[in-house]
Amino acid sequence: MAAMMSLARRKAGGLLRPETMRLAAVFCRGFAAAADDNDVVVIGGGPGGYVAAIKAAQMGLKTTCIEKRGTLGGTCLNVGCIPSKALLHSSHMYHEAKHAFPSHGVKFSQLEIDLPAMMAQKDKAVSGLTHGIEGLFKKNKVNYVKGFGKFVSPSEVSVDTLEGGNTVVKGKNIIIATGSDVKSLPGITIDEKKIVSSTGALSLSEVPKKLVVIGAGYIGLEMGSVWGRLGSEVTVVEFAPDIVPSMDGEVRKQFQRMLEKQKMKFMLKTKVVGIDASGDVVKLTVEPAAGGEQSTLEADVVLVSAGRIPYTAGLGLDTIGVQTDKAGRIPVDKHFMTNVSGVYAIGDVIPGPMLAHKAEEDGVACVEFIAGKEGHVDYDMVPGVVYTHPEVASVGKTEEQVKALGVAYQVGKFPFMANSRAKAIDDAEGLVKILAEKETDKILGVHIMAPNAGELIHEAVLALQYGASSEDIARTCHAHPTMSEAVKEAAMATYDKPIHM
Amino acid sequence: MAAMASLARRRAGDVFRPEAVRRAAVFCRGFAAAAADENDVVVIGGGPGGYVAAIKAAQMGLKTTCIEKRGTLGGTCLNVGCIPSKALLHSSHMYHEAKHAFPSHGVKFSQLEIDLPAMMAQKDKAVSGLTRGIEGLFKKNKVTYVKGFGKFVSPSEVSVDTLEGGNTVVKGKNIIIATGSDVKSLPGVTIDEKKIVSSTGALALPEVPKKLVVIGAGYIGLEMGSVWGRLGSEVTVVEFAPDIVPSMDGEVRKQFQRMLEKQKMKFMLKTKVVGVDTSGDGVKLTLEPAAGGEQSILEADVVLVSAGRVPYTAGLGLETIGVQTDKAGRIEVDKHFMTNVSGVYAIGDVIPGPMLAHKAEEDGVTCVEFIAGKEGHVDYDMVPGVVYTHPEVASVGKTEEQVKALGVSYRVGKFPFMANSRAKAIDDADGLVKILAEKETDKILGVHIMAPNAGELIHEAVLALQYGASSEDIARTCHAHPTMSEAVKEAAMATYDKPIHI
Repeated sequence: MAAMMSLARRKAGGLLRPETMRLAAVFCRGFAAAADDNDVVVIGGGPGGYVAAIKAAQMGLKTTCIEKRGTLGGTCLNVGCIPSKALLHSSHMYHEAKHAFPSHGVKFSQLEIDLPAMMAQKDKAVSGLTHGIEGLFKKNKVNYVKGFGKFVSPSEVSVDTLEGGNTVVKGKNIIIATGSDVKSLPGITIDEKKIVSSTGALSLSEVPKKLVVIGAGYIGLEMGSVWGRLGSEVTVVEFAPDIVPSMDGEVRKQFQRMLEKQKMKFMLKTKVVGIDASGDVVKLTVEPAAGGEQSTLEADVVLVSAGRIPYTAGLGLDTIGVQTDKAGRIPVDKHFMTNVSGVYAIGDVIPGPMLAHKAEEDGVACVEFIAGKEGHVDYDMVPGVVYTHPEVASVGKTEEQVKALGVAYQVGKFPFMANSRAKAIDDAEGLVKILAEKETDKILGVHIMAPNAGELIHEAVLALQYGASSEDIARTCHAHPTMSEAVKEAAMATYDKPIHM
Repeated sequence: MAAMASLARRRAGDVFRPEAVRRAAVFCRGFAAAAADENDVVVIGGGPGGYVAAIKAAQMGLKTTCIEKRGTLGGTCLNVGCIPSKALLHSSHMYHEAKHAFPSHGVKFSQLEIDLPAMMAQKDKAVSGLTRGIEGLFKKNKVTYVKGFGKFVSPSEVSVDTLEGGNTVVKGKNIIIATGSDVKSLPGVTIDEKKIVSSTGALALPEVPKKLVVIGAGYIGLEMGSVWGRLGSEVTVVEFAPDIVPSMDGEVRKQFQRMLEKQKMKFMLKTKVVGVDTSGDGVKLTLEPAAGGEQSILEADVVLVSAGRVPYTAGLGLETIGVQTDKAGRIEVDKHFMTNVSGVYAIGDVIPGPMLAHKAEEDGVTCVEFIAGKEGHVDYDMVPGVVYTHPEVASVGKTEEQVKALGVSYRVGKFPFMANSRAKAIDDADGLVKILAEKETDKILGVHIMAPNAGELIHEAVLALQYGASSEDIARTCHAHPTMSEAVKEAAMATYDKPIHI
């Protein structure tokens, strides 16, 4: 398929330039270690940055990575993906203990939450992983500079180090991987105590009685789930008519219903026009998005999760003339190069889905281009996962996007209520939905809501990569009993008929 | 790839015979009651192979009857196998997690105890919901369901002693034997399903045995041993062979056994059971090294006999119609699943191939497609296997031993879950992904996974094998972060190049 052909092209190889690059580096080398000329300098040590740095080093390129946080792993590892997954898991354990264990024969009394212990487990996981990446840097001989980097020229980055000094890092190729930051809302000051971003929401000192979440994207819903399970009364306020607007509409409807069953309340088409944090409790003034009668909402904690924006403050882009678009993102060509030669950008700071794995793919591909090889990232084949319970995962097009394409299509669905494994463990909410071209049966999109949709989706991602038909998946043997059988049955429902429904 | 090509062949279609079959059926129809009408397809056995074949046949427009003696559909799998065991594995895992993991995750409680009746009730409820579900599917697809014990009187007639006490003869142009398998008994060991149990009894014990001895270290014994071990039993597994789960990749098996031992499962390998004494309260087993030698006594409250399963064809009347079986009692079939008797087919555990429910389902669909004049295809090399312990072990394709035996030069890529972000985030990081690929072409030959949810992760690998994937293909496929599946990607990277995260 396409993937195999591009594989062949890649193997045929491009111009391998590391050798010439190393020669050039030798001629430009100064006398101080940190000022040595690198083949690659990466500004930012998040998933995009650290992966690019390790990849570059593995490919024989002299590499330095600059990170200001004091630990590697970026937002994802420190205050994003990883701590949230830890809390989602622990809070799910509590919720299961409370609601499911008795019917499964596991009894106990005086169930309670030990929040410090829960946070300690999360912190331990995060710290273990950040240390792990430092270890990978050492193993791969990536030079790690702790500090805030700023361009002084297209091949030099001035770093105010965390120790208090300054050093200049030189590189033939510089990759901007500075990621993104929380989007603040006008009139709302985040103090990470009563008004928090996801960072504060991951470290609350006690379970809030009332939590209001502003923004019904996946971050708000995941954090809302955590605290809702631990006992908070959660209300999600969203300006748009829908939660998670990028989700397939039919799946979104079931998803919202499922969250409401978990006692999450939604106020859609609603905007926050005022916030009063003066008292013990936060008072929000809300109004219909189209204007109208105001009302007040009270909360002990307010989570602002209304999106994230590219982070390039203080980077010195203007110094070297790197352009950004209206949204503050750095436009790049298909080699991830900015408008300035030798300066590249990857991850959340450039267009495309703001996801850690997309940044990792960018990083690897960018470095492969720098090394004179071929790289490739297809943003249409980047899966998305919402880690609520059940999870929602998808890859490819939603039904709305397929309709907009104007192609004739067929849909196959299969509910987990009819899946043996889900019924055996009594955790059977959700469905698999597959969209395929009517004429060719070629899969266009797969959407899964299931206890472990985030894992199930990868069969679909690989299928999309191969230009699979739904019949291909339907005729692949799936182990019994597994959740994955629902993917097979949905595929059967797409091109023919399911057996188990 | 091959799959796509055969797909094209299937679409090009073959001679479509149901119409001719239906016409023939009309001419042969007799006057007696509905059960005596001639069917296009009769399926003997309502397990995963049988009920799936029956539904598929009905969906393809064939008049179908399914005969099942159990009183419920779903076979061993649904009633006393896959499903109830998964329910108990899940519940016992909940208990085990509550005891060992919850406190460190901030979930505290006191007086943790097992309510075995409630645990069993959940299992029974799940099973009964699913068996009724299949009855519903039969009704929906208009499959005639005959409850009783079927026996061939001719290649197109099955005499059924019905559960109600009567008899009826079911006629069919094509008859599919899907009678499955049964527990293999050991000489000198009588299963009473109380103190000496098969998996059936092990799924319904009235109390947690203090000491459980498992005879046979295959996946059934290890899964059931896990259930009761988690609930507090002292579990010892006695196995004649030098290895547990002999079909598992050797390197993975070693880690797997170590992991089970960490869970306090004890193993006595290369050991045979030479005597069983149930005269007292408990059971006394006399053991001996497999090669002979000094005997020893092992005491148990309950003994689980899980030393394999044998094809079940007793009383089926195979001799009446001359259907041949091999030395192991399995019915031999050609690539259309036809036995040596024209019009008589066989699928599932009763024929050669892995004795797995999903293999039976694939057999069933394919057999019916052939009967309907279409093309069908099952590749036994692409049937995944899963052991539902915790972590689970799943694999598809060849083990390293099998690759070595092939004589091809190969490369191996491995990635441990200790280095996987999601596994570390939830502190459940035992296991690894191991990929074997041809050295020259990078074509994947086998994938082996030990992980909390290996049984789900394996399907990316099954699809990859179907497509003749290279490990580089998987490595260049975007995997969501953070997920366990990333370990599959990293192992693929380790296979053809280098992993990033280790």
